[in-house]
Amino acid sequence: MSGTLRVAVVGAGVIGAAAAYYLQAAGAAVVVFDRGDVGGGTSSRCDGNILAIDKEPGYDGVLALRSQELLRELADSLGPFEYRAPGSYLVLDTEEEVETAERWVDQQRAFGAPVRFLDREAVHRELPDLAPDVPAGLYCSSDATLNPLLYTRRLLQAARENGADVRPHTPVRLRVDESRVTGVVTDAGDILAADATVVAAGVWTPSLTGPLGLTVPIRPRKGTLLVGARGPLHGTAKVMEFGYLMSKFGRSRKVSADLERHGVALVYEPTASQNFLLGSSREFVGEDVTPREPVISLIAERALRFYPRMKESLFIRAYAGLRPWTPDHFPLVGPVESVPGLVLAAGHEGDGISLAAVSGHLVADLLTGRPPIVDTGPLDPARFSSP
Amino acid sequence: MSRVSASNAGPDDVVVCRCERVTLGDLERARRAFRVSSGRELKLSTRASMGICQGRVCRSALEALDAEWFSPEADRSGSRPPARAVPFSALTGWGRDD
Repeated sequence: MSGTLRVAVVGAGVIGAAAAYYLQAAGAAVVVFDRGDVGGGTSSRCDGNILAIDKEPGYDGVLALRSQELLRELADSLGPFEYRAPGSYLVLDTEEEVETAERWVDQQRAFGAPVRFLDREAVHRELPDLAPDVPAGLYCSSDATLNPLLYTRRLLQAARENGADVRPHTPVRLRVDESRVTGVVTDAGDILAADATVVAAGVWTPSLTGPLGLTVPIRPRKGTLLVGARGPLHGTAKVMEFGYLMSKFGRSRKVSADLERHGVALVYEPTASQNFLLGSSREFVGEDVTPREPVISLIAERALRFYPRMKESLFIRAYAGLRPWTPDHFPLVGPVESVPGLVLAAGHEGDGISLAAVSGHLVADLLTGRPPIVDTGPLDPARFSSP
Repeated sequence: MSRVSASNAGPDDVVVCRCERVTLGDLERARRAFRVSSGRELKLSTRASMGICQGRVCRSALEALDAEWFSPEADRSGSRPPARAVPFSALTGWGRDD
């Protein structure tokens, strides 16, 4: 193949934006499409947490840490996106969790994650607003936070400055020619031919790939967030409960049936606007993004368990987004062997913002033939195909 | 406080969102800088109506701009709970059987 690699990216959320940025930087000619606004899907219905603390030790953690490194470079080279890296904390609910937490820390450290265990005295010294009965905690120093929509926009802005074309409000479908994907077709019937088409459409990816008969097991997993108004902050640190890991990985923890059923676990995140976000929940309820009871109250109750003084803080808004869940918790990133011309970059569940940088870089690596910066085996879309 | 006559007032003198201090000038600049094409995007780009009153003061002004600037099919920001700000303590136990 001679000449410039022409790439169509379908989806102008954080993953598509990162793919466009790294592809354009690698010399490809990129056109990005979105059926709606830039970042109008999950990337504007989430929080801005960039975490390694909640990753399984091993590949999961390596992917997250590599993405954090790339993000530090992007924070220096893109326009500002409210990036700060204060680290994050996990706090424990019960004494029973302490042993598991200590083991978790040892495993994380063995993989090079900058995590440390905080005993009772240390966790209360670092988080003075915490409920007094919290027995211990963990801290990861590389964790960061940012404004996800602004980050998405900065990636696309930089891609545009390098020559990419970004077309929001332009729904497309894949153009297929004898089992090859050769580009996209707009609703108006305009064709954009491409050497490779990257589908980075999050929960809407299966609707694009469906007509090709591919197995893309991405399901929407709803998450609800509450916004607390600026007032006396309960610290500027990002804090989650250790039980969050259990909820994320579908393991059981010792909480009420209600909390378990809706996958509710504390996530507290002060934002640059000095409000704070409170999560979290995980539910399979189709594509509903209306915040609902009892989840709203359950999130508030869980927050008050850890931050009793939050009783008087003002709740001003709730919203919800759809995480693109996959059965093995890893995204699908890479060319689809059975469909030449098709590349997937989707299925990041609750780690889209965290992993956008490494995912985008990997898409560019794989399409330009560079050695991938991380092993891509576990992300191969083929792992879900029936033999 | 100086008086500004109607003929001297420009877009930067018109405060649309009082809570987040967003002027008409800010909205116009954001619309251009971010190529905004919907009311929802405009909100997310400027924080207009994202402050403590959640649009109680500015919603009608933003809706007028929406009608002037964007197509009728463009995304509007949905209304979301709570209907008004409440302390978090008010939420606990609401709507569930004990």
